Amino acid sequence: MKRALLLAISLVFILAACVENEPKETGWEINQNNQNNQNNQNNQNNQNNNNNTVIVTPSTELDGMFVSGHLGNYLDCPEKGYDPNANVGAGSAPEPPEGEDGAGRLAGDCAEDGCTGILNCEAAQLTIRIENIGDIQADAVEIRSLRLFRFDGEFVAELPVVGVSNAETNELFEGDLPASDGLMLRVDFQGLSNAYELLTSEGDRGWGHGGVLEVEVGAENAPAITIESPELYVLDAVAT
Amino acid sequence: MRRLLTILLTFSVISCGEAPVEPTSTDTVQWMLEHAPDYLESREFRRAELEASLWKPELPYARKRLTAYGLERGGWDLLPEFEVKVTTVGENPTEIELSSDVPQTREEWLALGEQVFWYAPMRRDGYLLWLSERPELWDELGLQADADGNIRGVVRYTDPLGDQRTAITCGACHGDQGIAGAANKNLDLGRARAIFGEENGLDNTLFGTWGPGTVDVTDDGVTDPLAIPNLWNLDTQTHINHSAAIKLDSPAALAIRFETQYIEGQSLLRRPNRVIPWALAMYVYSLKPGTRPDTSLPGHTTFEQKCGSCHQADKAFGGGLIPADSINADPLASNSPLRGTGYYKVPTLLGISNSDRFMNNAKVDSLEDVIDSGHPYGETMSENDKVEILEFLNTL
Ligand code: HEC
Ligand code: HEC
Repeated sequence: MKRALLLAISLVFILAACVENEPKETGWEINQNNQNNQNNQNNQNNQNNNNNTVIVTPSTELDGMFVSGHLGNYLDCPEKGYDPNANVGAGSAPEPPEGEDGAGRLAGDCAEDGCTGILNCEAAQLTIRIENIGDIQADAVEIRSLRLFRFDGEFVAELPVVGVSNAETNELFEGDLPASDGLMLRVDFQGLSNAYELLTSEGDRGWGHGGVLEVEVGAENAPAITIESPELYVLDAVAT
Repeated sequence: MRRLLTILLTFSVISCGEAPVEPTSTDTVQWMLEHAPDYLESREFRRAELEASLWKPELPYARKRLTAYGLERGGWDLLPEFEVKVTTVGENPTEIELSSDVPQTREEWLALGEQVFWYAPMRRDGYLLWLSERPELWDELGLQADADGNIRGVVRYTDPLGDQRTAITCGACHGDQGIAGAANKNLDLGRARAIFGEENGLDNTLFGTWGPGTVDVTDDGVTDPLAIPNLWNLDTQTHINHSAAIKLDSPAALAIRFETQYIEGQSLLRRPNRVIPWALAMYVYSLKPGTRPDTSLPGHTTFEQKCGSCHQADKAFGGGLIPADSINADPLASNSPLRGTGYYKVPTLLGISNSDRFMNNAKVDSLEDVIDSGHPYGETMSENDKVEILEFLNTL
């Protein structure tokens, strides 16, 4: 009896331990799943198997995952970073992703040359992987928004996208993603000019936290998806 | 009853996913040779080793890795690889390209590791280019020229975006006089940054306070420069870094530290082929000091009595962790929000006879001052014991 009880307790313990040991939810969720497409695929299967006459419209569906990224470092070049407060009074929205000039442009310059000679001036950037798991090409795939949240969930800013390119070839990404194809994309964006101040909350021992990005990826002919990053940090001034 | 519980617990460990593989061989390099395929091919292996090494998972240093490395989906594993193709910097620039073919023998692995140590760009920095063009400054900043007249541990390469970069390698900090593993205690990168700042209208005066032989490795809003350590007999160590943030549960932990360090050094745009960090870790594990402790000296016995409980002979005269506030040492790094654990590692004393900067901040100038400055037993020691101990320490 006692033995059985112990066994039971131990099992509970084991389960608890396993749950604890389960790798932490490290991922990034795709918040929106395209239910339709699944249905379509099912329909298609039916079609193939049963010689049915269900008519399906071929569709496309994006899947995406976060790979890596950082919030840049604008300590020595704050004017190249993004300051959400500077825009509040003016009431101007952040530059749209395709914006030709404005703040986003500066961060781009910074990535090209201006920054390399300065100590702490690094343009922010992230890498994601996008896959087209549908059956026709996805057109005009683009980054719709980059929303930055504090680690405790508080919204901080929508950050301007500077450019999107193929992470392996560095070629500008034109937006086409053929069916069953995948691509690593590098997104250059403008990080906060004062990330430390805006991302740290009281009682946080200071400097201990970064921010979480929600990357919304859309296409002309596919529902948008949101890729969530893990906590991202300012790029260290010194790393060893 | 107890046995049942033990069995169940054992069972639970096995059933919860892969437990880190314990080194079975006493020869670390041999162990790494045997486990290379695990590291190169098994994500589960790498993930388990990562988790086992980050014993303070709440630290940002750990969180960064736990949320990005060895994931089932996404994360750093997907990054494209970078090629190690560099040019040395100085009078005789030479192009060096490392192969990422998997070495077959111990000798091949170690030879690759040695190349990685001296030539693989660990971290690029804007001011290094500026510095590399001013040889008149090298000497006072502790940068050394090698036999070819090139700066030791500095290389040029083309980054993933096509820009020319200048980067530092392990050898700049841990390769004093061309001896791999020996800390360069004269290297003053803080001062280099300060001078660079002065000339470029940036306020870098804070960097100037680091002092020679130190680097502030954390961006935590606190100036807490840390002594560059020697890399001797790491196979005797249970933890690395002064604040012991990484546990060497198995040698794979060291390879993972290097791999993730290279990824950060590449601004999270590329990862090294895993042959690179594995070879490097193997090589670093093989490093031994040129000195030999003279245990025939009377000071050895005194040392064993007074100091041996912490500086253990079988751990290269280093040892476990002690709470930082239990020792008279600069507490800053143990409190760092990024890497501080509240503990300090008892450092190995191998190689200290070649040093003139001690403790985690490298601010104590002589072994005598270490003993006199409130170190355990130092103040209550007889003058004779002290002389004997110093004599012994000078053989380490
Ligand atoms: C800019 C100087 C610098 C460079 C370059 C550098 N290190 Fe270090 N290294 C340090 C400092 C400073 C520490 C102490 C860090 C700490 O305690 O948190 C350290 C710590 C270590 C340790 C831990 C040693 C111990 O016993 O605690 C190892 C191992 C190591 N470095 C190996 C390497 C390797 C391999 C490379 C090349 C990939 C490298 N380092 C590049 C400065 C450097
Ligand atoms: C209670 C444990 C303890 C005892 C006992 C102890 N030490 Fe240490 N020792 C440490 C720790 C911890 C450090 C590292 C302090 C730091 O990180 O600044 C250290 C650092 C040192 C250093 C500097 C090493 C370096 O590379 O900078 C020397 C030298 C040293 N101890 C010698 C001695 C001698 C000699 C004795 C005996 C008289 C002794 N220690 C006794 C814990 C101890």
